[in-house]
Amino acid sequence: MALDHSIDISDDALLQLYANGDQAAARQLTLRLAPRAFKQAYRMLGVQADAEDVAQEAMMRVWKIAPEWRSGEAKVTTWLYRVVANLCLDRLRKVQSTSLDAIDEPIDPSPSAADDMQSNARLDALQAALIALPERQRQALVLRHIEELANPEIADVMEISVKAVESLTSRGKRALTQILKGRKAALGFEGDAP
Amino acid sequence: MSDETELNKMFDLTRRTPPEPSPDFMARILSDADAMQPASLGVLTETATKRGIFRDMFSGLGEAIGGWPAFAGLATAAVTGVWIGISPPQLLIEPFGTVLGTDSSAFSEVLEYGDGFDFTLFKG
Repeated sequence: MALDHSIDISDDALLQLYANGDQAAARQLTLRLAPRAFKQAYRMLGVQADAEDVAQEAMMRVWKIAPEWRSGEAKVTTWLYRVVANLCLDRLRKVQSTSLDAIDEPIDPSPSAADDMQSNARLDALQAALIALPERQRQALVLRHIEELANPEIADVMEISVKAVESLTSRGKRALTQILKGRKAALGFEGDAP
Repeated sequence: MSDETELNKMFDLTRRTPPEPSPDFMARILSDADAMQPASLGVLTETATKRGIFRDMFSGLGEAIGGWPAFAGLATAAVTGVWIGISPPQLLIEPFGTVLGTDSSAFSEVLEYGDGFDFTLFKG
């Protein structure tokens, strides 16, 4: 099966095709899910190699669960966000003593998207500030403001109440503001139009 | 400009410039996918096929005799048979004990076959 119109095929259906031996489905799922898993892991861990390891482990769990996946019971992406989040927390707890020195320099974004120094400085500053937050606040902020998930889905991923999500994101944003406060000028925010 | 707006600008920039995984990352994922993929439905292994046959056979038998309650009934009957064999009730021992012995006329009386009946009739 060529999956020429795979854009119309749900993740559920692709998982079923994969479980039935369809190699095109494997490629399609990889293209859809692996970059997403990597992105989430990178925002949580700040280290490229660790993020790739976590994303690879999460994808292995996708392949493993495919034959048992029950269509319609849960969203594949929500399940994957949860797996990545838990793997990241496990890894962070194992390396409690991770210092900022161990954090990679943020990955250079594609030049077309951010080709000026100010944008790079802002990206670096936000990533560093995220890494400085407590794990749960960081997780909630990444899911809410970078992955753009709705609060009920974040609650599902983090297995907490929607109120707890709201509290984590609110405290996280306040903490980020505090961390970035002294860098407004360097990040080019002073003098910006409102 | 408020702190909230500045923060939202930074989040927006971050969303538009996602980090890129290394070139071999996707290759590793695809390699895992290939290694862990179940066999295609058209190319089942011999073991899987045999396992399927046995599973289908028991499943078909179960359906034919009425599902798991029927299996439970069969099991109970089998256990009862074994139990009677090991430790027969007294009522069975007395009449059938005569059969096992040599006094066949006593057995015919018990079963009310009548005076003319004798096991010697079956001898050639």
